[in-house]
Amino acid sequence: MGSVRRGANLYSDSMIALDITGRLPRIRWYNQFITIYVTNMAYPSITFYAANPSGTLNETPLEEILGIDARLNVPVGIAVH
Amino acid sequence: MALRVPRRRFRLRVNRGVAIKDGVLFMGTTDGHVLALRATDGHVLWNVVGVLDPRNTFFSMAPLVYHNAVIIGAANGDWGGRGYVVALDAATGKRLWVWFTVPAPGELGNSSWSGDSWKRGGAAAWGGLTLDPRHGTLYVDTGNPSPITWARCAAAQTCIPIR
Repeated sequence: MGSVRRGANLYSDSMIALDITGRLPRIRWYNQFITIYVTNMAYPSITFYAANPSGTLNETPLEEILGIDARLNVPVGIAVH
Repeated sequence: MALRVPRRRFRLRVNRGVAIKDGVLFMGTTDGHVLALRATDGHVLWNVVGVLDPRNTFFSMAPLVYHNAVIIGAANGDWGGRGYVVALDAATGKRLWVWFTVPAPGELGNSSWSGDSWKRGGAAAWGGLTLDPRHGTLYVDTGNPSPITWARCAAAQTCIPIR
């Protein structure tokens, strides 16, 4: 395109938690992941409940598994395999 | 910038699954429809155009059902679209809401786009959705912005969560 589009470009390459209990969705939290390549979250996240924390997992094309505390939006780990 | 969109309907043959609730099967199609079928015999209960623009958008993911809503994300990020998730009434197929993954002017996050690039920003939720029914939370995972600007990504050296 001959130019660089600046900015974070929200909410691309992100995991977004939407509250869908109301008439319209509302964002609870989001996390955007940018690596040396685009992250392109190709898989639906896996959610799990645990005593502490409960969270979500997603895998990126770079074979990273991202773990996020679903309540606090705090990354709990990145595993590279 | 002139957008080039295909004149024909998509010919991709992708389907990542279906949803079933109360004897009704729900599925999206690669020509942008959402169907409700009686699971026992395949009788079509309703068949609606679920996408906003069939020229550049289709469905490949499995929908989810939450209470009375059939929820599915649209694939359009590589064709000049703006990502979104749509909810349809499970009984009728009527559109209940659309949530765009790229915020419009006046919405939080729109300033992260330059000019009017948000209109074709990609960020499609195309691979699948995840539901936490206990808390009424829908997890939406989005793809790259469109068109991809590789310089944006090359500036980062590690995985950096941004808030």
